[in-house]
Amino acid sequence: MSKIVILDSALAAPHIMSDALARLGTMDPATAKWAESVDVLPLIKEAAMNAVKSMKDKGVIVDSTIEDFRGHRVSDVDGRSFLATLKTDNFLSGMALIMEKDGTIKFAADDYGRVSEIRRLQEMYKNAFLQECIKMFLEIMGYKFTVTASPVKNSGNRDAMQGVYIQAEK
Amino acid sequence: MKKEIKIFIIDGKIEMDFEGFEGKTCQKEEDLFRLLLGKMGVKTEIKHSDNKEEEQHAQPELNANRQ
Repeated sequence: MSKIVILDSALAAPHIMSDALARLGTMDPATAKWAESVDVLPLIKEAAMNAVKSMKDKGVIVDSTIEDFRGHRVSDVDGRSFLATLKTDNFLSGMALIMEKDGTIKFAADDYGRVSEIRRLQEMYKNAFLQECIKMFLEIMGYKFTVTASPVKNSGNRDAMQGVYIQAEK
Repeated sequence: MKKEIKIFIIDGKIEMDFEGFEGKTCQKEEDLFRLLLGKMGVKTEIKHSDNKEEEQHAQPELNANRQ
C-alpha cells in the first residue's frame, strides 16, 4: 500500500551514558557538570542541517516536500514538519528528515517499491550526521582536525559506501 | 606530548582510537566524548591504541567499568 510513514531506521534518541558520566564526575566534576547541562537540541539541529548541506555537496537534491507513490505531495507527516527532504535523480519522491521534540532525528517516506534507494539515503545521511557531530565536539574541545575519505571497509555489505577518516590532535 | 584521536565513520558507526593520552586523561577524554555524543543520539565504539591497552592493564579498576 502506498502511504508516507515514519520509517523504522531512525538515529538513536538522545540519552545520557551513565557510566561515562559517573567516571567523568569522579575525575573532573566541573567538566561532567558542564557536559550534563549542555543544551543539545540546537546542536542537533545544527549538525542535522550541516549534514543536509554535506549531502547536497555530494549531489543529493535538497527540497522541502516528499510525494507518495501516487504523486500526492506533503510537507509534514502527522503535523511534524520536515527539517528538509532528500531526493536523487532515481528517487524524486524523496525522503524527509524530522526532528522530534526530544531531538531524535527520524526519516519519513513512502517506501513502496523504493526500499533500497531509501536505505542508501539513510546510510548516507547517518554517516554525514555522525561526521558533523564529531566535528562539532572536536572544535568545542579544542582539537585541530582534518577530514578525508577513507577506503570502503570489507564489511560484507555489497552496498557499503566510502567511509570518512578524521584525524584530530591538540 | 601530542594527543591524537583517529576517528573512522562508516555504515552509521564510529570507531575512535585515542593515542598519546597519559593515565586517566585518556579515560576522561573518552568519557567526555561518549557523554556528548550520546546526548546527540549517537552511539560510539571506542578502540584503544596498544599503549592505552598497556596502561589499562596497569589500572584494572578502569577496565572493570567498561561496557
